[in-house]
Amino acid sequence: MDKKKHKISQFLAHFRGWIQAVATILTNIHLPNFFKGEIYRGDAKTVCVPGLNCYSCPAATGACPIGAFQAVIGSSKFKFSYYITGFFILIGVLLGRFVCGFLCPFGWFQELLHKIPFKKFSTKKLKSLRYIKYGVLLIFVILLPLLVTNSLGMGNPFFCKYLCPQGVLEGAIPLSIANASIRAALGKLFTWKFGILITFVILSLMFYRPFCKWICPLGAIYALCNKVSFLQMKVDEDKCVSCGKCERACKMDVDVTKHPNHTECIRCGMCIKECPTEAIHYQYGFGTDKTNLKENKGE
Amino acid sequence: MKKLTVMLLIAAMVLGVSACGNSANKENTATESQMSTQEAEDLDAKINELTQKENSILENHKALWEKVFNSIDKSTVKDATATNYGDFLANSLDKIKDKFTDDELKSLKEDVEEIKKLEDELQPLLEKQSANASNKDSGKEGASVFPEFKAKDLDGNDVDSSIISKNAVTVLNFWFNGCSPCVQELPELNKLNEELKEKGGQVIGINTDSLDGNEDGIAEAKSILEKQGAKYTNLSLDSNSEAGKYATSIMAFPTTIVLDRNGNIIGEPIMGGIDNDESYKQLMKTIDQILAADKN
Amino acid sequence: MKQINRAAAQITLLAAAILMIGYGAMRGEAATVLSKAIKLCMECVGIG
Repeated sequence: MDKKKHKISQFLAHFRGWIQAVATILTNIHLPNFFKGEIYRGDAKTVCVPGLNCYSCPAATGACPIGAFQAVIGSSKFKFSYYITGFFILIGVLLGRFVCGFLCPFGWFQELLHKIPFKKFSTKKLKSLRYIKYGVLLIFVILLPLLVTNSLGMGNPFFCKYLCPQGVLEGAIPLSIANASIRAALGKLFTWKFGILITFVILSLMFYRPFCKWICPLGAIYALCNKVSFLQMKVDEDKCVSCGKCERACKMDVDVTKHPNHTECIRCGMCIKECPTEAIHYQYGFGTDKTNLKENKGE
Repeated sequence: MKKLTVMLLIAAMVLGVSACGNSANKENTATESQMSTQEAEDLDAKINELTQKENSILENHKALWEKVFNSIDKSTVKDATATNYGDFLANSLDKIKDKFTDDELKSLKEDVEEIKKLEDELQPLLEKQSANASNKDSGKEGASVFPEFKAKDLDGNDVDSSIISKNAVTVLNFWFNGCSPCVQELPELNKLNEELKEKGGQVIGINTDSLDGNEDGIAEAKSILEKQGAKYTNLSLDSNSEAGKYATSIMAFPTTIVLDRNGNIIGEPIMGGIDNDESYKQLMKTIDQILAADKN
Repeated sequence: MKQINRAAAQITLLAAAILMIGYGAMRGEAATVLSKAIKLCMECVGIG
């Protein structure tokens, strides 16, 4: 039992790049649309994908949860979205920030950029910036779309419109390359958001996942769910030799031995790979503080 | 890891290309409902044959028919193609029958009857031919004529394409109820409609929530239009009609296109609100261009 | 005790999530999501 758990944990940690690639392709399955300059318009778009993935990406398989949330609360018909909030809780409980580490296309994009040789900086001293993302969630995703409305009660998706770099990367850029009319429509807003994208591209070269750490409202939601998620990090105290390698390996600045379910932990498993005694592993199921619980299923 | 990434990208490309192949196949099966080239050629040959027969009948009494043709008022000529050509000849003949002897008249009338019969055969074939031709046109990418339509406005009154030909220029605006930039520009479009009225133009809205007479969509659209003070015509199209398909194929909202009197789409579609300076300038340029051309 | 509390929270949240998704979809939120997702919101992606 224990052996198997460790094998799965090691596998996930070592093949994370693959899983991210597959997740990105599954999230954007309609690849030919890039050449057509069209977006997919089937019923699958009723359902949200777990990661931050613009639904105006030509290839997008489903809806962006953050975009969809703003669309619902910004519509004249609804002031709250049970549908998307339920989705957030569901994914939050089932996976938590595992989504960030394994499934989110924009997270993968930043990681790939970070592989490019460039002067790297630690974010250990910038921990206070982490709280920005909760502000972004509250203000740009919830309050502004809800409160700033026209005479018909229609709001704007403020986060999508003014902040989200994923929309430019996946939506505006490929569509304007393939479609002349869209190219003609590019204006000030595009310049502003392109600037944001470029900023995060450059920041990603220097820092590990700057957008995830500081800005991403979806990451903020999943962060709040980390503590109640089925998926948790487990440190075996009998095996741990307190060498501190895991803490140094963690690019999200988390000390896994002290806070195995920290809000910033994206379950990337770098600590699992680094641990010399294989004391850290993933655990999936109800409860999960002790390994001998009966409901340890679903691994 | 880098190798893995590269391999994955290649896999993605292959997947993309194979998916491309699939969609191309679908298009092929879609066009199979149209006529094959062989069928189209047979149809052309048959039409030719019947037309030849008609001509040879007229040829037999050439001198007499010349008289009839000379008497025909030029302005009625376009009726000749719209109705049964035999009927047209009979009418024309009737008007000047006192110029012929009884015998002459009798033989001419016999000719007319024969031609009528041929026409009955010919007419459906011609329709088939033109339907096939227009199918081909609309199937082409970037067809630049807005399809003819029969639709209702949001109050349930019948509207058809003649509304386009009555105006030198028509600005078609595609929108839907939940689209805030679309709703935002409605007052601007109404103002444009008022301005265009004087110049022989109009604005028409096409609301994609009101397709197929969707009652909820229409009711919501009407209340939005009223609140935004937009008084110009808005249409509810049938989603299976050619025009309806054009509307449902639109991906970005709002989209605005400009038509001339003949339904030709002039210039590139304008995506995004026309309440933006640049788009408005582009729109007015296209409108002026069409108005100038219409005067000539 | 702690893990029992956590399990209880998990079950409650999971049930709440499923109920919310169902209720939201029923009252037409899913249709709103689809209608937005299949249309290109120009200004949202940064066009305009």
